[in-house]
Amino acid sequence: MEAAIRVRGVTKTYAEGSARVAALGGVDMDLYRGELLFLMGPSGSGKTTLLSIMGCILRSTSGSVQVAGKEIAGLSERELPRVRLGHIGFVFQAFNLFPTLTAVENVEVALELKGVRGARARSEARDLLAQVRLEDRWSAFPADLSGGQKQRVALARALAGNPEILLADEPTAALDSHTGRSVLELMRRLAHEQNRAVAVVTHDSRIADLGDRVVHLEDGTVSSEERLRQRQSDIPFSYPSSIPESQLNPARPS
Amino acid sequence: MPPLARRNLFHDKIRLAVTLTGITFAVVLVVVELGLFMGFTTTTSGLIDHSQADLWVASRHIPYIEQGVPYSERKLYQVRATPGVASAEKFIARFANWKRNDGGHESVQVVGFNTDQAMGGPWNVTSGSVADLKTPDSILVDDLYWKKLGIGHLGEVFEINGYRARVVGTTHGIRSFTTSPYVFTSFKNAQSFTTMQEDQTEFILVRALPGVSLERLQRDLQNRLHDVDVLTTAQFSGMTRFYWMFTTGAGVAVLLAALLGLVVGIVVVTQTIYATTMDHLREYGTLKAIGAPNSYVYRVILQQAGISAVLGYVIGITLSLFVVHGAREGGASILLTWQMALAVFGLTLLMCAIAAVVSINKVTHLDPAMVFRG
Repeated sequence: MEAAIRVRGVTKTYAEGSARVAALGGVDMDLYRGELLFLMGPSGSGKTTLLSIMGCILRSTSGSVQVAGKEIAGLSERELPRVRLGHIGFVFQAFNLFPTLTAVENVEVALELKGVRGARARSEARDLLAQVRLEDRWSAFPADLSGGQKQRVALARALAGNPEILLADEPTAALDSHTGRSVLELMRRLAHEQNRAVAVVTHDSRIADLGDRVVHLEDGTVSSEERLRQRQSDIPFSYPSSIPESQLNPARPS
Repeated sequence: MPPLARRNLFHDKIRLAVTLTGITFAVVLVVVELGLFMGFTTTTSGLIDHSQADLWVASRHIPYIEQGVPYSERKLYQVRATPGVASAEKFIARFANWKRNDGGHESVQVVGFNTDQAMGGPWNVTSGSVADLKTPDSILVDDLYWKKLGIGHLGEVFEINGYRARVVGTTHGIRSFTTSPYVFTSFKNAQSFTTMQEDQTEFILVRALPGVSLERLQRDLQNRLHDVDVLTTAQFSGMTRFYWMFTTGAGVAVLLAALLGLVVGIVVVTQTIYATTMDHLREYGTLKAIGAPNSYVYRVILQQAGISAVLGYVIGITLSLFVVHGAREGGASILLTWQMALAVFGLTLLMCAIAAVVSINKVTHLDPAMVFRG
């Protein structure tokens, strides 16, 4: 089966003054559709750097990264945002919502970037908020939402335009354990029920049981990998009725 | 499009107030300084511009109207005898001493013209008339200067260079660029007030027949007359304006102040719009991270700058109108035309665009990976 993201021999070196610091030292890994993958490891192990490279935000120093079958290493600075826009949704540790926009407007911004505007954008944004169970809070500003609700809005925004890949950086770090778990359960649903490839950077071992696979990083390399359950591509697949038609991915797993 | 620019701008009321204060300050400063420059410039040549003459005959090489040197009035007949001349009249604009009734003295500029003709006379006459100046000793003084000259009412009598002068009317808004107010009177009276010889004049105002080439008439008159310059009204007006505004340095000072206002405005607005951008840097980073092209982020920043420009301009131009109105009442000459208002609006937009470009430059180099840093 083709990976949504394929990483081969990726290195990343940063310059720190005259010294060069290796953040990643030759990483190989894949992210498949229908799975929830955890990237775990201690601070400074290269988790976020790897996620940034997988998300076409950061360029690798060497190696190959394929997103949706397309090699991104040679793409220009103009082309990279298009790859992000077309294939990837992001969830950030600090939510990164626009504080001056309401929940629904936050989602609309992402939809607008993907060419959906006006009444259709409003309708789809509300559908996405309903999908993360925030249908009654669509007009609230981020300041009026709890941490868990903010992360759900961020998740709805990440789902705008129906990307096949979701990348999340420490999405539970700013949440209490219960809320964090519920957000992760939601992400697992998105992976399993909507056949998305979901990668989550976390150091929160309390939620590790929710993942399908865990890749452990240490000193910029993959130290171990453990499969917690069978990949969703291998189990019967069905769309839940609560998900709007426009958000359904027509590409079903083979 | 979600109203990100507008919301960002209005979200922080204090920041918005600072931004608008900066723009308003710049607008008022530029309008007032440019208005002063325009007002001064217009005032220096007011007598010439309102003379209704086509050509001026003046003594040689005088740089501006106040420097006129008397010459023989025989030249008047030579001018009148020149083909293409419709009419020609004598004209005086000379300084004299005004004695107030309380014993104080002021300098005035006596303007003498032929009261049977329109050329060289006052405009904006609000009480009395030009015809009233036909009576001996009668004068018209602008109401702006009544207090300065100690005038209490029409009919009051004063002394100009020891000659009796009676106020028979007023004008409104005829300012003098110098500290000496204009006193309009008949040419005959002016000769007395300025102790000029009876057979002399300071200028000759010429009106050409319809259809006559001014250039040609100017050349013909110049060839026919000796020891004088024949100037078109536009030329003489330009010379006078140039002298007062640039040779004396007065205009340069005002222009520099206007320029300074613009620079200060740009700095203040750039700083505040830049600070606003910095406040929202994480949001712009998020936009870039989720795939927004730079052009989208630029649009947001430019929209913010544009909204700030329009709001700041509206407040600034409204305040400027009050300043202009107040200055008129206070005796200063600030000219605000709709063309100038439009130009300042363009300048305000430009100023905010420059400010936005500085911010855009920062956002262009923004690393979207910043969103992953805590």
